[in-house]
Order: sequence, then structure tokens, then C-alpha cells
Amino acid sequence: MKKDSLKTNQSSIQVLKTLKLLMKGDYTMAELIEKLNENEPEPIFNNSVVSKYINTCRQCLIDIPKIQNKYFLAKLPFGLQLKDDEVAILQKLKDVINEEMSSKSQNIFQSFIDILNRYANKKITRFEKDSLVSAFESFERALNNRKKVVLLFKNRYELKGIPVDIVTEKGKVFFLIYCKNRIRMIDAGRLAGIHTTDENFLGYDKEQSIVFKLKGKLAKRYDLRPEETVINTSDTDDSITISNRCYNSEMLFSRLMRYDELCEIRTPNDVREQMKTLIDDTLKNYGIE
Amino acid sequence: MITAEEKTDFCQISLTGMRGLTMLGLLIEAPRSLEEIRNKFLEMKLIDPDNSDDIIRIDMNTLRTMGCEISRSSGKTNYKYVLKKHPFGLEITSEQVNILKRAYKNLKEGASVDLLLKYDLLFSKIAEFVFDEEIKEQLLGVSALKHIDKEKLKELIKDCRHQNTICIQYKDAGNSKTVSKNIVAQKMEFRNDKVYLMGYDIDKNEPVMLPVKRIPSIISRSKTDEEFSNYKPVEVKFFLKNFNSAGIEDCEKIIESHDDISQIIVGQYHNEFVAIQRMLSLGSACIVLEPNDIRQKVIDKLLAMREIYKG
Repeated sequence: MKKDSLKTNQSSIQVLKTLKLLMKGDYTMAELIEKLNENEPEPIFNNSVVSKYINTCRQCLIDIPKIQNKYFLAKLPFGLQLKDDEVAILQKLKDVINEEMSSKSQNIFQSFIDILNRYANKKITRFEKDSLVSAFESFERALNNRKKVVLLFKNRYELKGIPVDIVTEKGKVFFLIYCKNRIRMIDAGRLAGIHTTDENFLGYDKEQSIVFKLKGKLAKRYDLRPEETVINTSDTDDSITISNRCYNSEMLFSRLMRYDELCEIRTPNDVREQMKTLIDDTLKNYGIE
Repeated sequence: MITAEEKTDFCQISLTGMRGLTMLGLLIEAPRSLEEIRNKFLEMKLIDPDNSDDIIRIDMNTLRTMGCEISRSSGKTNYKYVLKKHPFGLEITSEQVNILKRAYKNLKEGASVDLLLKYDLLFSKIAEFVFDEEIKEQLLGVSALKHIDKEKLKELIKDCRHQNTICIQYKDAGNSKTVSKNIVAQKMEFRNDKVYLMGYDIDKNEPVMLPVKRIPSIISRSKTDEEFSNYKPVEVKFFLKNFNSAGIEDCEKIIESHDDISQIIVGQYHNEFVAIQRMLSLGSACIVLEPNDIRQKVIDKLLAMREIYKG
């Protein structure tokens, strides 16, 4: 092995260590010195060398401003080269989060954007607060504190139940609430407010499994969803039986209706009955009793 | 790309540090030859013309000591140094990717295949800067197109744009056999987590929707004969009651609105199968008005479904 291959530049290593540390967070000079010296056999970083290393980074167009006594990495020149349309689709994701998720989720995503901003050649702008946010927060807080909620509808109707989840479907936000032995999906746009009660809830069967059978060609070409497992395959009638861990039976019904007579819900009985009623009600639309 | 600031006070900076940072930046951008790195160092006055290349090799070792994985320059790499891994990447968390995944899940419903492709490329681009392999996998796993050959997809999008007739290899459902099909490529669609090529099967003389996953290859393409280019979608007029208009698809248009939750809608669907599926999925909220044959077919399907639940 050549002698050169073993040689390294100590001050270059120290500059890179300084950069690496600044990538992890914002620090005062004292904190930087302390953290950089942590892994050294003896202290080699001091005020003057760290300043020199920060200047070295700045010289290479790495933006390290000092705000409120803390140094932070604002921009790296060798990061992501984003195109305008890529910034636009990131913005789209942010809009969805802004409109449909809690402020906690917004903050988490903003921290992701902040990291990207350090790397990217283009800045991605910040969120704006949305009025629905407080409703999401109340719902999430109730869910975490295991408190029942009352959903207050714009038409003054009230619905009390156990908070389950907030989901989005086709651009709309829904609160999932467990009441009257089933999970109901409530359009957030229909609500005037949410009231958290003092009543605790212990638990419930949040995810019920719905078992359905698929036949014929559909059984052959069916792609399982992540929430599904095959529990039986039959060669005699070319069928498969699937268990779906479903908490949104309305969406599942809509999908299974598409499969027409090639699909049959087997269990639980009440869900099978609901499907039967749905078919009967649809036929009534055409004057068929 | 790293370039030094013009006014340089070399007493207040570390020259070797600048070389380390510059080399890191150069290698993150692209594989580089020794000569390219040397030229950049000379341009930035980080070395003198009479300095040997050993300086550059030592800088390379410095990066390796910091955890960079840099390949040796060889014929295989076109005599360039390739940065395979480095610890200066994006440090994003699993929690952040999960939020991104939730937002994307919502966005992908009803998104065009072009948009999904853009997201796929963006996630891949970001993932290139992620050092943690698990997070990288998680990020790449967000895309709905993760298992699809992107090059093939781009070709199909182009074919649809030009309405080309393409000869494809197609794997039939439940059948390991691959058949050839001549299809007029019309539109790419994403629905139920799958990408479909919507087209017209010239041999069968009918509109078809083929999952892209089942198209292993495109054998040839040609300009479409005029007789096949005047394809008309299936039009269905239906009444929707107690249904939020947010659930209406792009191919559907409200022509009469009775109140906030009852409308008469005209939908245009790729073929009869898609139209009937859509009508059934709307359940008791929907009454098919026209055409009569689709209305009757929906009723027949519902009667057959009722039979199943009689037992």
C-alpha cells in the first residue's frame, strides 16, 4: 500500500466534523466546542479554530448564519437540485397537510421541509394555518387522552362517541367516530365544532375483520390490499376468501359493490346484512322490491 | 456546485478544509476524475500548478476517514471516483416520512399518472441524499409506482399522447401465458392503486383497460389508422341523491342540481364495464337514467347480487 493512502488532513477532518455537527442542529459557540471535543482524546477545538472552520465552510458558500447567538446551517451548495415543478408538487403535499392534518403533523412536515431547504437549491415556503386545525387538535387530544367526544354539526345535530381516527378520502377530510356499535365516517365540512367530554373510554374493537369471497376471473387477478390476507383458496369453484381488517365499512362496501356477483361478504353477519340491505335499497330505486 | 467566495482571507480559513469540502461537493454532484478535481482546485487556487496529485489522494483519504465510501478510479468507473455513500446526507426521520406518506395517500387518489411519476422521481431524488438505508427504503416505498418500470411508463404516456397503436406483450390474469395485443393507446389512469393503460383492442374491436403491471414489454409502435382514432367513450346519465359532490369523478359533470346533495350527472367512461362498476359503487345513492341498456345491466347485476345473499 502506498504511504499516501494512509495520510489524512487533520484540519480538513475537523472542518468536516464541524459541518457534520451543524447538520444535526443549531448550537452556540460554547456548545459547538463542547460537542466537538466530546470524542477527542484531548480538547483540540477552541473558539478560534471553530470560528476558522465555520469561516472555511462559509468560504465554500455553505450558509451558516449566527442568529441569537446560535450558529445554524441554512444552506448547502451541493444538495438537491430541485426543478420548479418539483417544488410545486412538494408545495401540493404541504397544502394537503395544511388543510387536512393537525398542527402537530404540520410541524413534523415543516421540519422535513426545513431539512430539505438546507439542501435544496430552491426554497419551499412555509404553511399557513387553517381554521380546521383546532378541530383536528381537539379530536387528536381526545383520542390520546381516551376521552369521548361530541361532534357538533352545522345543522345542530350532535353525535357522541369514541374518537377513532382522522382520514382523507378523495380530497375530503373525515372524522371516524365509534358510536351505536359501528364506526361512522363524518365529513369534517359538516361540523361546527367538537366538544371533548370528561367521559373516559376503555377501548373497543376498532378494527373489525370483514371476510368476503371472490370468484372467477376476479379471484385470479385480485391484488391484495395491505390490510388484507387470504384465508382460503378453493380450486373447486375458483374462489379466494379474504379477510379485510376494515374500519371504514362504507368505503369497503363501495368497492365490493363494484365486484357485483363475483363477490360475497361472508362474515360478520351484521355486515353481511348491511350489504344485503344496500342491494335491496338500490333495487328499490328501480321500482324492484 | 461549490465555488469559493471571491474575497478570500486565507488566514481566517483552512485551505485543506476547503479542499475537503470542495471535493465532497464535487463527488456528491457526480463521479469525478482526478483531473477534474485537480482543475477545480487550481481554479479555486486551493493548490499550486506544481503540486502533485498526491495532495488530492490525501484529501480523498480524509473523506474516507469521515465515513465516505469512495470507489477507486478504474476502467469500470471510466477512471472516475464514485461517491457511493456519505454521512453528509439528509437526516430525515421515519415520523416525517409517515406524514409525507399520509399526504401522498390522499393526493394519489384521482391523480394523473404524470403527476404520480413526478412524485416518484422526486422521492427517488430526495432518497439519493438519505444516508440511513431504512429511511431511504421507507421513502422510496411511499410511491404508488414503486413496483412499476418507470421507463416503460414514460413510453406508454408518450404513446397515449400521440394516440399510437402499440403491439404489446400481455400476461393474462390467472394465466402464465403471454399474448400479443394490438392496442390504440389512449390514456393512462391510476385507480384502485393500479396503473392502467386505457385503450382500444384492435383485434377484439373493443375498449380495454389493461394493468400496466401485466405489460412486460412494448414490441412495436405505429401511427393509428383513422378508423380506430374516432373512439367515443360510454356516456351514462344518472341521478345522485344524498351524495356529496366531492365524490364526483373528473369524468363526471353535474348538469342539473336540485339541492346541495341531489344532482343529475353525465359521466363519460372508458367502456361499459367501467361505467357499470362506477354505477354499482355508488350504491343506493345512484339511479341510472340513460341509456336504457346500461340501466338494465345494472339492475341485472343487482338482482344477481341479491340472489347470492338469499342463502
